[in-house]
Amino acid sequence: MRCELIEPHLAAYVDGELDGATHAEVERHLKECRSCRETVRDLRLASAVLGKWQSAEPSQDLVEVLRTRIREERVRGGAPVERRVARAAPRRRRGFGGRRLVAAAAVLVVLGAAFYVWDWMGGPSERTASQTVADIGRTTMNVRTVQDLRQASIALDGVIAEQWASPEPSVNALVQLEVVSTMMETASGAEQGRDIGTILNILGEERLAGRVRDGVTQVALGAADCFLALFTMKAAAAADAPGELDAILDEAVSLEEKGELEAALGKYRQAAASRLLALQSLIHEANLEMKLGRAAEALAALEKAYALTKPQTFNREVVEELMRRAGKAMDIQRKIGELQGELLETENAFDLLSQIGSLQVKAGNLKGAEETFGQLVRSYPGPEYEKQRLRLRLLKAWCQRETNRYSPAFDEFNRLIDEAGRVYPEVAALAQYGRAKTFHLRKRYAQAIDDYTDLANSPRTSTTCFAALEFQVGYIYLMDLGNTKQAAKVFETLSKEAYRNEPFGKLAAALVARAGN
Amino acid sequence: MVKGVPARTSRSDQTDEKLVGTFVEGRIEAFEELIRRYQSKIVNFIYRSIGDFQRAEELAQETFMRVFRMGSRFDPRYRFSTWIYTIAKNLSSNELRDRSRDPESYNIREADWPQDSTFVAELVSSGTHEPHQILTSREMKASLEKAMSKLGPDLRMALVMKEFDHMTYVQIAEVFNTSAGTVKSWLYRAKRQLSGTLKESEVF
Repeated sequence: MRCELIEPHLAAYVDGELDGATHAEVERHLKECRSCRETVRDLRLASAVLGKWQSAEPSQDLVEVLRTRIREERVRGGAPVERRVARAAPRRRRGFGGRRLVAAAAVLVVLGAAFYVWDWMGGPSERTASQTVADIGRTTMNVRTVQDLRQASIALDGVIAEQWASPEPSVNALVQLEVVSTMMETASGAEQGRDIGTILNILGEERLAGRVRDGVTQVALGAADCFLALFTMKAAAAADAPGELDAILDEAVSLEEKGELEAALGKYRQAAASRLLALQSLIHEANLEMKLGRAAEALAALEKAYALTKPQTFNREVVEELMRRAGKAMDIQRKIGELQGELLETENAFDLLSQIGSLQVKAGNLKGAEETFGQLVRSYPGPEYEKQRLRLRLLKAWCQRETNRYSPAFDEFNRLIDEAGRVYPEVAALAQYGRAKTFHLRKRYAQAIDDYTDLANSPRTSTTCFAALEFQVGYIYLMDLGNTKQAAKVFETLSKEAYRNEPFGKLAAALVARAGN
Repeated sequence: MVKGVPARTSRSDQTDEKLVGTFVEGRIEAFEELIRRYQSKIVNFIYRSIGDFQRAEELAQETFMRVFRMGSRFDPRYRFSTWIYTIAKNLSSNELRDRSRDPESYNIREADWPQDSTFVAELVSSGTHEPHQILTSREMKASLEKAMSKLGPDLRMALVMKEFDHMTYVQIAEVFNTSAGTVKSWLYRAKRQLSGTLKESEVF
């Protein structure tokens, strides 16, 4: 037999991995062929050399190390995260295509969110904030339409804010909540009509094939219905809306993005004069008023918005949900007023002020919260407040980012990554996550990917959180950069055995399977 | 009995798979027994895969933490060793991927490796061609590490599994979620390439 046919078997021959017949055939060939005999000799030598590479004993007993880590996790309800030196890697490849994958992704966003919460509710490691998350879970599981999705998304925003402001924020919990939130936003923003036809086609196939469990198919079909409804509405609005007012709304949104909130508010009010844009503008206006701590004004705008909706129409439930939040915020404001009265009589007001700040976050008053946190940082310089100060600076930066003032937020995140590393690793990790998200929001994808990846590979990031972060990276490749090849790589890794039982692993596997079809 | 050393229990006779079941029920000692059985193997597997001992220790910790967190999802019909090696392999691949993205931030610059000339000189002065005598020195080990680092991640890890962890082709294939045929061709390529590099540096 010829050497080319024998050669591929030679390593297996040396390793004793060949079946009897092949083994005999190789032996016969070796007797006659000097070159293959030499190859066998080289292969054996390679093994022999390797065999002398001695094992090293671990420098410390892992039983002890892990015992401590497990105890820590149990106390904190999630794995602590250690900061790792941030690395900036030069890279970026661009490419377009894979529309089918994009469409599948949009649909799977909804499925994924459902899968995710489902799993998390029963998951072993993340028990913090579990009650609230379970509520969100139930809402998400019932998602049938985009307004359900928006409602769930609004509720989720509340949980996220509370988690940031909690006395023991957990990066593992936060990352997962925020990744789901991003996906929900993409799903509910799918009205741009991109690939609607493809989505419906895929779902049609799904329905015929019956490959997905009934409940999940229902969710997907519900989502498809609302994608279609949104698409039609958007088309109608585009045909109808006076161009000038449309431009005003765009301008308002861009002012808000620049962090010029008061100016944006003026524009929203102006745009609300249009029949077609009124509802949309009023909702924007209310959201902004909330952020500025003016719940009463927000409620007034929402009442106007409510009057524009009809029973069972598209936006009524969303407006109702927002009104409930504004009402709650007004209650909280009253409570804050009482606490502020107490402030005058207290000598050390640190705890009281911290409480006020957290309540402001809860009420959605991010501007007010930012001021409170700033005041706390300035007024309590003693070393006994060092850890608290780091956490408060983090919160302040987060408030700034949430009100679209990216530059100061970014600078503070940067400083915290360095300064908090040793003293308060969780805050350093959260700062890195904060920076990643800022990059992401500012469309600086390369840096965002670096930070996400870095955090994902931090040895103390929990597995579920690791999968969430990696998924986020894949998602950027897919949705933002259109680099389907790179996205597929990430999703394929996530769909392998180690992550197969993770919610984001499941989602990745589903995506890969779709793309393969 | 020596003070502080616990008496051997029947736990050490249990199979790995049984131990997973026991620690999932809340018996932490069973998990600790698994660590004892595998810590050296996993640390060394990762070390030989990524070429950085300190980092390998961190990643080994992470491997065990994942075993701990995901233990309840382990299906006892499968082999525990396949599972733990899959986790360690994935962590090593991620590490290697990160390094290839940004080699500057890692300590694997050419300059850090011993020069081949030193190596050859030592080889000559040692006056022997018996590999086990040559490769006792630190420099030799470094040369081997360097030769290994030239292999692609999958080839390299499969080779380590075969040569050091004595896994069969089928077991390796399970870890990589691929066929035994693929593993066969990887190992052939890996050993050919390795012997080529070692020949260039005149190890044999």
